[in-house]
Amino acid sequence: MTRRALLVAEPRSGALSAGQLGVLSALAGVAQTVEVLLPVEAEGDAAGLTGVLGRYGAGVVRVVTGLPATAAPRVAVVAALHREQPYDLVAFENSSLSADVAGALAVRLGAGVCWDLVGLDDVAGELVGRCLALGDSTAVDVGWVGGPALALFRTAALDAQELPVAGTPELVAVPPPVEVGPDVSVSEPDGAGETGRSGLDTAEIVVAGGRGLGSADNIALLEELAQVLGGAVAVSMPVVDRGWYPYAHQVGQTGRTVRPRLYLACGISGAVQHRVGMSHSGTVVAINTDPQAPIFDVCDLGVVGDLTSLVPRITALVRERSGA
Amino acid sequence: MRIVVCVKPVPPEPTLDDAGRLDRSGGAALTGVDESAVETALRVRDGVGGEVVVLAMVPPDAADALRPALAMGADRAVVVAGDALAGADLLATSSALAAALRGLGPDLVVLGAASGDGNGALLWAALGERLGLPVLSRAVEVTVADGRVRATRQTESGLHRAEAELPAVLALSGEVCVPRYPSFRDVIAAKKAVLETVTPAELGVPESELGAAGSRTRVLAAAPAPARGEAEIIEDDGDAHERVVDFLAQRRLL
Repeated sequence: MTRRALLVAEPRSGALSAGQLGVLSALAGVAQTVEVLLPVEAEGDAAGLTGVLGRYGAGVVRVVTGLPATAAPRVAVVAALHREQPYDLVAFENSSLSADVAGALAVRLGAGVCWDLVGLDDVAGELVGRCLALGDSTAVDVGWVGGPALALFRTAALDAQELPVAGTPELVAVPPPVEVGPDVSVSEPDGAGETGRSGLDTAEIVVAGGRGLGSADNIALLEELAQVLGGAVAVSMPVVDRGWYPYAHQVGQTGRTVRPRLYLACGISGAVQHRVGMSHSGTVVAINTDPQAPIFDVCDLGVVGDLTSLVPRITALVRERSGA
Repeated sequence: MRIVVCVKPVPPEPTLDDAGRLDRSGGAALTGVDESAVETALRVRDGVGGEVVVLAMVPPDAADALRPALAMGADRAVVVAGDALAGADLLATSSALAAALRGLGPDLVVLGAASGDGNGALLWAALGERLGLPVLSRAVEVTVADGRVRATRQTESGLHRAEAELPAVLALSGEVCVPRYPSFRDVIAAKKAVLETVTPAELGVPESELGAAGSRTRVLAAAPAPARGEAEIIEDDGDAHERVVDFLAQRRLL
């Protein structure tokens, strides 16, 4: 069968995350026609992204300009495209916006939606989504009944695979939606205390802190270690709930998922809500004062000790060995 | 005003049964995010007046899990229960809950950050679509005044302020507030309170849109996920930093 797939892209600061390109690769693996819906601020912004989309499998790039950062207009655009020529598969990388779009779209199109996907395959002509459920304890294969199959992929879950021969996608302008249902009005991001960019999407090394930090001041210890290792800082939910660090850095169930080569968990107990966001990291090193902390069940090297004493010593030794 | 809080009591250690559905045999309780949602609703009510209704779609024997919300101060608890609802995916769940919500006529629908088992964080968007209401998701701070709900939202790009006209659907981000601790007297009263029940037939939705029949996804297989290998655990006697740095060097991570 021939299958038509659509990636609903979400460029941030004019670029697409590696995770979104990974989803595009997955679509190219199961569909003969792969399209991308690309919302941009101004039409000219699309040109710079078309090349990279072609390298990862996009045949058609549908460009829509001037959409606000809310779900309702995106739902309307995808529904209109689907009415014109139905898709078999509509995919997203998970984000606060794309989850809102996917949930509404499921109802609008009467379609099944599967989430937390980490893989997608064609098994004997049927789409099979691979996901990890219940705190990553269970590998679940999911299927869709009827179409379109709505697929929400875990952030940064898939590796982007460049095509041997890059395609040159056809660029098509999509008219903005005529009728949008009830929507919220949004202001620009507040500046206060939020850089908005955590660097976690691309970091190969993540130094993470939890409740065991004891105070906001101790996050500086993590920042110093992250700096000497060339990594980024992440935190668990209790740290954000206490106002010690911005949400953009939160890893876990209600934050983001990371998959760095090294995840260094400092003062993080390893509640399941946190583990789902980091358990697929390459190497996990954990530091915690409690020898019973569940983080020690998902690490490669665990140190029972006080992070406020140990982290500065690690930072100093790495600095010394690198001759800096 | 009427505020309806949608909650999902789940077993403390959720597992899947042979059909790949949530195994509900282990009892059920509200999660921290549910309690945050109830607390948020109570604070709104205490500010502007009205009532808080707690709503859940659960098997009949799990209905008691709503009583702690009554003990916290919710005015009513409504349980949507019946065999026709079993095996519901997101689409079918939203169908049943939206029908129940229509019956309740809320000014504000409140949901926690994610259910304790499925963790989809999609239900509020589906409910907003079914009810034709605006959706404010990922809220960390909420105020209700002048017929509008205003929220500070946490997203990947930082904090945003957003607002919508009531009626509206509001979803929270994480455990955004500390739930109040009910008094002993309130716990006893909640034990005796009468829970309202809505059957699938009373929803006014065709059975083909409910439960497994109304679902458009299915679980094909479920198996334990592969675990990480054996870990090396050491104690820090003042020299653990050397072991950590050696370990990172061995794994070529420096």
